[in-house]
Amino acid sequence: MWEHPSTSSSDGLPAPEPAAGGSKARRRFRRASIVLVFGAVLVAVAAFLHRSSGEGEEPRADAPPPADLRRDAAASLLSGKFFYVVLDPEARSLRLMLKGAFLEEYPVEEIRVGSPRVLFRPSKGSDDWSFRVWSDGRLDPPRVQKRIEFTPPDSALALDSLQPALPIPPTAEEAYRVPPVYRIRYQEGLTLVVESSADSTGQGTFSRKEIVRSRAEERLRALRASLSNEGPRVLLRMKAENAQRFYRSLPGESFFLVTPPRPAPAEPRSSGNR
Amino acid sequence: MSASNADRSADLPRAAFGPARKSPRRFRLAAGLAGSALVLLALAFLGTGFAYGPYETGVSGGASDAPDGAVSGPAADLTKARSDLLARLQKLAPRGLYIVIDQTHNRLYLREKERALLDAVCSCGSGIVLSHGTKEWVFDTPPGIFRVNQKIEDPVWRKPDWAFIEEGKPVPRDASERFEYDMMGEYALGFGNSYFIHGTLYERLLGRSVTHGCIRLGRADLRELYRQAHVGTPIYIF
Repeated sequence: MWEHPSTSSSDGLPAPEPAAGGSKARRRFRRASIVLVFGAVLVAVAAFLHRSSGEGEEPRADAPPPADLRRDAAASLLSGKFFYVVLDPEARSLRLMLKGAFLEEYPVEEIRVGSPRVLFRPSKGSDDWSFRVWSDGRLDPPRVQKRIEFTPPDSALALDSLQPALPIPPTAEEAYRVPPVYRIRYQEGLTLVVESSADSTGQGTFSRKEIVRSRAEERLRALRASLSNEGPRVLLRMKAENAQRFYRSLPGESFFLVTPPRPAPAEPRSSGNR
Repeated sequence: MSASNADRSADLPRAAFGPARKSPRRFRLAAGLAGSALVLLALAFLGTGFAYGPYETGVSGGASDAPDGAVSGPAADLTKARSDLLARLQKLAPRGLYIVIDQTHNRLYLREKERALLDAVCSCGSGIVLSHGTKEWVFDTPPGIFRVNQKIEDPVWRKPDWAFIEEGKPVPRDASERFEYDMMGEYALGFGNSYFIHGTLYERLLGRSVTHGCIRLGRADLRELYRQAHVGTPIYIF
């Protein structure tokens, strides 16, 4: 029987390893270890699969029921208190709207729909995301306004009448650094992933480090989202300039919906030769 | 233990036995296991997340099997609700001219049916917080829907308290000391609660957020806006 090297023999020295019996024991030990590791991995896989298939069929506990959502969304949008973004897949554009009024347009180069998967196995996704109205969109990372706090001078100063008394805040471009990939997360679980297209990121808009970090971050977030069934994920690829404009302008708590497909134009009747 | 092994153990120093001899093998085993685990983790990482495919117009994730994108069941209800909502919103859209102000980028548009008749650089609220004693003012341009409620030629600015405070001057008791002429340019279009679209002496600052909440325009753009907009013209600020 092979003894562990730290076990002392009767003469006080560590027992040397027997030649034939030792290698057999080592093989057994190695096999057992490998079986253990694979077993652990299999258990983890089974846990993930169970989790994904179990949760995918159930609506998220915190998601509002669809019927209420429709009614609430309609009331909110018709009131004119909330901005909304309409994705027009045919026109390839995002349109910022308020109470039916068109405010601004952001061209989209590519729309891609994400299917969640766990260990290469597709998990249950939301089929009807494009038919729904999504509310309370929030930017991730958030756009934080840094306000300048100004305390007036105590005594009257002779101010140049052509000089404004208050400091001049930075422009939007200076104040908000937009990452190459950012997200808009809606209350009911939809995530719009906005990515600056590769051709527009290579013009010095972003550093290589920024691009790598931003994409790695998105990869990790997508991983977590697929494991926890956060909801559907839609990728919008835009020119960096448009993606940045959209990030800087998007009002808080906005809604999102997709325009229905336009009916195909009726085919002209054949009039025949006259 | 065999005699030959015992002899060998007596000849060699202690350090040659046990952990010193076995650690490379154990290390190899541990490294192999760790490597395998890492490969498995990497595979799991690659195979988990979202696989993106192209968006097919009218069909989403198998919600419709019909070639024309027609939907049935709950998806049909959702589609109808969405179409109804968009139609109702469309009815609320302004029918004539309307003003759009992008306060983040300091742009003002005069639109008619989505077509921009005027695209002007403006200045919006600075967002600065002015504190004086217990009082505080926040110089924001309010977002939302408004209407032009007055049109004024040669407007005169009646300076509010904060205008004196920010300059470090005492607030006058005599109201006549509050009036400033030529500060607001040739025209002013009022909206909301005492906000105006007006001209400026600081045209070089157009395009930057420097106002106390009003919208400043350059002389030529202000003339054009004043000419085309009327009392009741909707203003959308975002």
